[in-house]
Amino acid sequence: MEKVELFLIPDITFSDPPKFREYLIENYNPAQVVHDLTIIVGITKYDKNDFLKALQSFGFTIVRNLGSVRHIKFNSDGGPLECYVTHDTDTGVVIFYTNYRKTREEEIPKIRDFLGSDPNTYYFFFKPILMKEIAEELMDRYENLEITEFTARRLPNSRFESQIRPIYERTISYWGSDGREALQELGYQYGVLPSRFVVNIPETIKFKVDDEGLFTFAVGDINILFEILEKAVNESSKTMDAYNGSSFKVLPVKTARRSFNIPSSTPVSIQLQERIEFHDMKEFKNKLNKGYTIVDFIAKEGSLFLSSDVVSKSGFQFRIKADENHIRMFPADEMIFSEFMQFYEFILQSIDPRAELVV
Amino acid sequence: MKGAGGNVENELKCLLASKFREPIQARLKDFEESIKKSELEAFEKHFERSGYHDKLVDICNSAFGPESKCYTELAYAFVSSEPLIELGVKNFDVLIYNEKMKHAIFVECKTSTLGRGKYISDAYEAKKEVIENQTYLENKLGDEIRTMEFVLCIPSENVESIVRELERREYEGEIDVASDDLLLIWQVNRFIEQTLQLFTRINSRDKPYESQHMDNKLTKILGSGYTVESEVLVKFYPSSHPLAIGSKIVVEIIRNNMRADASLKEFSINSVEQFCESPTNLAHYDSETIGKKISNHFIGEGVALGLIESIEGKEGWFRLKVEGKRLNTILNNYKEGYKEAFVTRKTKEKAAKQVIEEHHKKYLDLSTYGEKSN
Repeated sequence: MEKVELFLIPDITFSDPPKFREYLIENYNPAQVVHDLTIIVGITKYDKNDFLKALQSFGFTIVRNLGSVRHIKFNSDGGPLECYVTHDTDTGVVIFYTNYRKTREEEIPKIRDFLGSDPNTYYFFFKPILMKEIAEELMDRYENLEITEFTARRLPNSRFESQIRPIYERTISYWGSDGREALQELGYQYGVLPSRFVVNIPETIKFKVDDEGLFTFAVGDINILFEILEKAVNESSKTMDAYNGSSFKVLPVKTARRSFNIPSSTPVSIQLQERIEFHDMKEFKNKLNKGYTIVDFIAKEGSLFLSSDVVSKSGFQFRIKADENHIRMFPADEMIFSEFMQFYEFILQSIDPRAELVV
Repeated sequence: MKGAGGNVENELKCLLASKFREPIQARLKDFEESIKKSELEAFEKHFERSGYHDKLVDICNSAFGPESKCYTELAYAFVSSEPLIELGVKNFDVLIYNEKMKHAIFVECKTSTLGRGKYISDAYEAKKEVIENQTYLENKLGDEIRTMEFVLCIPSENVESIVRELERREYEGEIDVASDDLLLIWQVNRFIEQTLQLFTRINSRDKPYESQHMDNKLTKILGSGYTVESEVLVKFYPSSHPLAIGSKIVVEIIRNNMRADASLKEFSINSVEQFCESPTNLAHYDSETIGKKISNHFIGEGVALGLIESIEGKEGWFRLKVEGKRLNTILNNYKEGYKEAFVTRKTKEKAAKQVIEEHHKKYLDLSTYGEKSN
């Protein structure tokens, strides 16, 4: 088996995660590293110690402590995975850096497994509309930018503008040096939004980004990639605020001789940019049914009132309430971070790619 | 006429054992075929209407939930759903209590405009029951009730129609407008952020205060419309549709078994009782008594409909008799199985009744044939 070594960071102490990124901008040299650099972004509600504990209980061990950076390792039958990880406790953003390959089953997927399986963490998905904005800004800024590969999707019944057969759900994968033009043309004609693209700015940078918070840096000025990452990470505070604003409590209401325990649920509220209407409800229910068990589903026309109690695959229960412009998630038990993220992702991927959390 | 009011099942058995067996069987089949569709529609309509009603009650409760402004600022708290239901008398849907003022508000939620006259009569009948059972309610509440108000809570799209009926009754003297505790009206807008508002434009009343709450502060909050944010999230109400309650219980059984890595469809009566009696699942001042009844009904009806069976050799243990290995499939099969078995039972009952009636009519006609022709 091919021997891979993690790119070297000397024994220095970083005071915060941005300092590590600054260090990489100045010192990371792809020529001295085997394979591309993969950066995986996640989000967590853990504090610093609990995050490290969670990593350890998943099976990671800490090799070195570099202040705000930890060099960690995962030993498995398929061989070890090593990476650096930072955790910004203010924003909840965690970033893993590694040059181990992501195609081998036991390597990078371990990080994804961790982010996907721990109830208090989730991978940092980029909203479809944000991916479009990122691509457009790069194209505006770099005239010679090439997109050599991309995947773009159109949601079923999306009201995002489409010239050709707008009613169809579709995914387009494209390979070709004219991807820059093709992405715009197909976006206009078929109303698709990018979920993954590979960028080559000659003499400047070559990298890949996907909407599940995964960047692959091949060569060039890594700062460009960090700028994109920063843009996405700015969204995280909104995400954390929305999560922290929701709750499920059982509160006592007292009379002279009795106390009544009343359950009270405060929702996460999602503002829709694409209005949903009563006639969309059958479709909405079908989509919901793919990821959740629907216990009840009550929709009323006039404009729209929707209430549905659902259970996630892991058994988490919550109530969805919606009007034309909002969808609210009321936890029926203590809110679980990953369930909240998963539901928000469901709304973005299946209902409205521009939906925003309300804080 | 004989037959219709008697023991239908026995009478049908007798007929099927008689010389009429074949024609009776054929007629039964005919009737069942013609009734089933309408029974299915009636079931679905009733289930749907019951669901809407629960949702209206949810909003009403939640406006007085422990995190609401009505509670934190004015001390009006939702304490129980369906007070007095355990006595089998006409009752309200919601009891709101202000511990500081010793004031109780009883709310009846109505979702449709059909039978609006009856809504008003029912509310007045329920009000009478509350007044008669005040001491009983005080015991359950654990506090005294010095003053009371009675409210009809209606979706905003129906308010005009119901208020017009109320006005008619008040104008025509069916309701004494001089009384100091006239029904108040709340309207709920479910379509824009769930707003509950006191409706005061009741033209049959001379003075504005007659359509307002005794507490001006409450009138002020509700008068401008109160938007519900946090929700009192209970699992069901005592009068929720049995299938809605059953679905919640099935979810609980499967979730518990998934967590415990136990056999997915097996459960003890104790676990169902515990779930149904919990005040956080069923918000009622006597959740133990009501919860026990609900639990017994879930199992009794489940067995009768062929959806639940007892486990031999394990007293107090049962098994869901529905296909599926995942929550989604099991729940859907339970719902479909319930609906199918319930409608079939109802159809058979009705068909039997009609066949017997028809048979008696025929018998009577034949027996009087000679007399008529003479």
